[in-house]
Amino acid sequence: MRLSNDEAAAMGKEIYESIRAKMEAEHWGRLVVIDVHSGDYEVGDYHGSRSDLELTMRLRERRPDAFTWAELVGAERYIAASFGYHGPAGLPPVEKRPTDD
Amino acid sequence: MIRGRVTRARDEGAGLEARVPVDVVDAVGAFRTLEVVVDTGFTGAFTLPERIAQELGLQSIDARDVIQASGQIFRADVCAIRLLWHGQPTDVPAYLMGSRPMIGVELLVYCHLAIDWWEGGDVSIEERTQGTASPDS
Repeated sequence: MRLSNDEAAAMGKEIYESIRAKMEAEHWGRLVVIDVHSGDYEVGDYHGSRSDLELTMRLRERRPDAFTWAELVGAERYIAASFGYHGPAGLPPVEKRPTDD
Repeated sequence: MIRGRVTRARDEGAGLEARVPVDVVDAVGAFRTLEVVVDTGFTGAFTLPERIAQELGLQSIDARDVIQASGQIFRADVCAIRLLWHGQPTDVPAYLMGSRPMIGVELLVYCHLAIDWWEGGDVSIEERTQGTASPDS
């Protein structure tokens, strides 16, 4: 049975928390796409929603039944797209690690 | 060059919309032409109403958060769709939402968008290469 989006998000966030330290140490500012069923993931540079899709399709080559969730490493929350929002929060901000200063 | 028209929105009041035809590929590989709205406030590439995704046989297999102009965050179904963009097969993620298909600014990178903003006005999207100055400049 297909997961609901909220179920997939909860599972994806839980998996991400288990790999967050490794991701933040090695992949700051990059996008990680997670198969919420297997825990397998793909990491790559983020240049908008098309790079999200490229990582998703790469993951799906070895996990054809993947249901994916994504996180932007270092961001409070990954927002995949905006529809005219100009407020202060929500868009991916991660230029460099805070400890780099 | 992709050419379209400014038309009055059918089901969302009296507003005008810039629309262009875009060929998309359905689940069995057949082409279908959709009239899509050009939305320069949308930072992604493509949206599809769920009804049209079903007609095309496309299945949602991903979930992503998107943010509305109001600041409300919406957890959208996402499916991959192949479209012909300036004659080239191009795969983009389509967020399943809204009442009509839309393209956003991710597809307008290195393009010149021109709109005659009146009902029946011309819409054109012309490919440019990076760093090309406007012919009028």
